[in-house]
Amino acid sequence: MTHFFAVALLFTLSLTLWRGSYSGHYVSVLALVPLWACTFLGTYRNIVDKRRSLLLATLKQSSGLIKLLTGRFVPALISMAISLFSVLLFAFSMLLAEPIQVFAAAAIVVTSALLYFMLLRMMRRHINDLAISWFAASSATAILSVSFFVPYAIMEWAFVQRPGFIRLEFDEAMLHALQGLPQRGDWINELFLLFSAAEYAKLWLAARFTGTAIPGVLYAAHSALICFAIASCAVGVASFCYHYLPKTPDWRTPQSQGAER
Amino acid sequence: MSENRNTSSVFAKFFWGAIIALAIGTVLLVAVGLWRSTQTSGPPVAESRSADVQEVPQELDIGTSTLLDYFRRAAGTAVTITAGEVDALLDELYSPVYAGIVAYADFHYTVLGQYTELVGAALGTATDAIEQKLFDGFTERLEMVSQRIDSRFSEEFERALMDEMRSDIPSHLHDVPLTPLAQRAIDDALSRANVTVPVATVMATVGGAAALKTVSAAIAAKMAAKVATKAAIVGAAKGGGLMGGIGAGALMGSWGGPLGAAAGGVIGGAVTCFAVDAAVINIDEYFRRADFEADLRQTVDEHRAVVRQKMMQAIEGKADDLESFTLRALGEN
Repeated sequence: MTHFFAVALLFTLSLTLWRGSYSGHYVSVLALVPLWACTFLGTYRNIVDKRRSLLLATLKQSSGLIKLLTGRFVPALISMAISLFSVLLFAFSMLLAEPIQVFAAAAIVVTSALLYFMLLRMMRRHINDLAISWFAASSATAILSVSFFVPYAIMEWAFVQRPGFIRLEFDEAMLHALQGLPQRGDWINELFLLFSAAEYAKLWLAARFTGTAIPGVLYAAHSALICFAIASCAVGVASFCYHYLPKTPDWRTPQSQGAER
Repeated sequence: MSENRNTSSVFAKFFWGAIIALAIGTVLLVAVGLWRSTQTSGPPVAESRSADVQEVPQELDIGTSTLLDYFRRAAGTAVTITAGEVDALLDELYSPVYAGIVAYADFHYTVLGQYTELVGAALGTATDAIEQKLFDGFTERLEMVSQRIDSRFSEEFERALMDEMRSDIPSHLHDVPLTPLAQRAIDDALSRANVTVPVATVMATVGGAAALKTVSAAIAAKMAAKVATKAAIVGAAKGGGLMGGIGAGALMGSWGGPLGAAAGGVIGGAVTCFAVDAAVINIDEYFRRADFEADLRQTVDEHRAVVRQKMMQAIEGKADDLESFTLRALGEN
């Protein structure tokens, strides 16, 4: 449970500070650094483990290639891409989120982390130590993304309040949409203006083509993307906690220092 | 193994260090927010109204839900006032069209008008001719009326919003500047009231060139039926008169020999044709002009009713544009 609470604590503090301070200064992006770092390290470790599992299953124990093919560079690139994309998309969606969207995101984070830890426990008897984390992470991300994206799309469709200006002509709607964010000109602001433009363009299309398949397709794709991003972040951080945090904090049980998990 | 433990230890320290830093940052953020709100803003409007305290804060805070109530009520007032002005504007818009009906009837009941309509019906140019005679400059006038409605809505929304706020906020706080957040929300609403879906855009689909073609084509179709009926009556009347006219003309021209008789026959025939046309048209005008004008007026009335309905919807739509919606609600509308 320590790991689960650590995950919940990191998400709560990081995103609260980010959302609360973004309008003030771009330095607020520092609040996302721990979240990104933990997501990156957790995802990286899972991908490395997966590659190592494959190598160990493929190569003979006597092969000298085992030491040569460490499989670290490509996992670093992949986990960098996944963690940056997931954290930035999640952070942006939280910036404009209504309470119901925050609640849905919290539910996805909590369920993803719980599922990951449950799978770790349940699969321990069947799966090697080296493979258990990436297996649990992949399974939890896939299960969560698939099972949450329909309810999430319904929530977006039925309960999230959209600004009335989106029914204006495209240019005017976009102008209003972009005015909703601080106009500071810093790099993070420019990046989020792009996210914002994409978000409102999608909303404009959905509002304009009500009664056709376009809104359904757009919101299904959007929901799948958001659910994947949130689940990836949550599972990445949970993996980080599993790999690098002692189950019981050192300050509570000094004798546990040095003990292997 | 020792290296792994060291790495884990570093990461664990980083994690808990980050948690502590984030917690401190969050607490500071909350503290600064609370401090600023107590320093710079006065009590919420609802509380300050009932309080006896006459202390004047540096900035006045208005809650989001209160602001949304103001916007909703102001938009309702703006819709009521603007919609009340629509009929007068439509009278102005359609008065040249109704005046054009009398002028068109004058033209319709002439021999030239009759032949022009016959040729128009045969060549398919009647629709354009009617549009030009009845609806000349209508699209431009409609655009101007729509722009006036847009600007009236915007003015009335601003006035109603200010009235709402003035009546709701205690008088001793009237001159107190609003908090940046509240001021920005109000500026945003005012700016949105200026650029909500313009009535002109909506009206372009119902009163624009394409729609005028439709109403003109409807009039042209009615006209073609009337002209065809009249042509049949004229044809029957001409049957007997024409031979007499040719005979009389030929007799009068016979002093000039065979050529003179032929020319006299042609002229006599033409004069008879014209005389029969003029007589039938005059008789038709005497008995049916009132019905003809009423028929045209009814067609224009129907067009006006459609334009009015769309204009009202466009005005109500402007109020909707100031409010938020869910995609489900949008789909149900």
